[in-house]
Amino acid sequence: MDQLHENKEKTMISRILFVAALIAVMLSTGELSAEVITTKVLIEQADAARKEAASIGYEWRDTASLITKAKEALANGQEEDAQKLARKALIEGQQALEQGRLMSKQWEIYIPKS
Amino acid sequence: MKQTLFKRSLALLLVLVAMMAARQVVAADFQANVQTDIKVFRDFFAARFPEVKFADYANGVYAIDADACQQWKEIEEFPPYSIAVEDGKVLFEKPFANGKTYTAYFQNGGVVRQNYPYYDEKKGTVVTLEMAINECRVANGEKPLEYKGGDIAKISAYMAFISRGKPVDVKVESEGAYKAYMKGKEFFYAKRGQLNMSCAGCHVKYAGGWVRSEILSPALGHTTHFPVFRSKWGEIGTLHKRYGGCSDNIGAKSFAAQSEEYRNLEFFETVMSNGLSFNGPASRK
Repeated sequence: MDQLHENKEKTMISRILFVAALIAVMLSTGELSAEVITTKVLIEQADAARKEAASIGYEWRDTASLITKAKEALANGQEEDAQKLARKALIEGQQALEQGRLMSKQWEIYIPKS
Repeated sequence: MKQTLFKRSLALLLVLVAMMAARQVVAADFQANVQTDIKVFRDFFAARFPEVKFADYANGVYAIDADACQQWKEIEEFPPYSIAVEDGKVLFEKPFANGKTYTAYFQNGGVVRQNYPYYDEKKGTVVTLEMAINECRVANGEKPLEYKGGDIAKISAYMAFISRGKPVDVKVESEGAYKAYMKGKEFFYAKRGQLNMSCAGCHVKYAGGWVRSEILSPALGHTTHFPVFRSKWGEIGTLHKRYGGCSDNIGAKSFAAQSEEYRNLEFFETVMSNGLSFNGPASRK
């Protein structure tokens, strides 16, 4: 039993060390900063929300172009601009999705009463 | 043995009769539901604009804005869509490569505006006039036309012109038609886009109100007068081009012209205008 616990601990420690080493290498080479990872994730999240809103017919007008601009800014090394655009796109995507879900349940309340 | 067979046959017959009766009840419900919707819709506008005659709703915003109506009537003396109608006539009569013309596809010399939109049971979808024009072209080996403006709007304008005065009488007689109608109805009332607005928001709730320098038109009669020559466009355009512009204005991504969403919306809006007359094409700001 103790042997089993010891093995598990070793495995866990080696995994943590591996991830830490990987992050250290990535940051030291400058190829992948923490900020870039966040922006990339934000863009992916925004696009996923946009697509989900589109699938129920509620995509907003500017979300796709915001995502395109965020990608361009990131590619050009304008990380701050890319972050702002991605965040705006993510909010739009999420709000469009929320709007669609809400409307599918309550659109009839806007019909004039006889 | 014979008695058992007789009993089984009788039971089957009764089941069939019951099923047919149920179908009729459902069909009657579709019609009744639609008629109720039409009444509620008309009653709303009758209460909002008590001085406006029902037939005048075919004139769109000019039914509720006397000054603009006067200017529009003067414009109609030399209507800006007249060239489009003339071009449309030429296009309509011009033979395809196979020697046939639109008249072989559209009966009554093209006086068919009043037959669209309709729910096609075989296709399981709403068919609009512009969609039928392109179906005619494809059936005759021609390329389909772009849906928002250009030649298709000109042909549609000519067909609308020669069909003027025909009554709007769109039927919703089947389950499929009712589903399409309900989808169009949901689209009409559901809020969309960055402004969280719906078709009904502008053209029912705020109909008669101002948006910047313009008065919002009532939804009743919206589809009777298309295609329209808009001063803003500087050319004749289709109803679905206008739908796309509306979506854009409220910050929603527009659907493609002749998409299922816009065809269902046109179906619903035209049903709401039953009893008016088709009077397209028209001129608008």
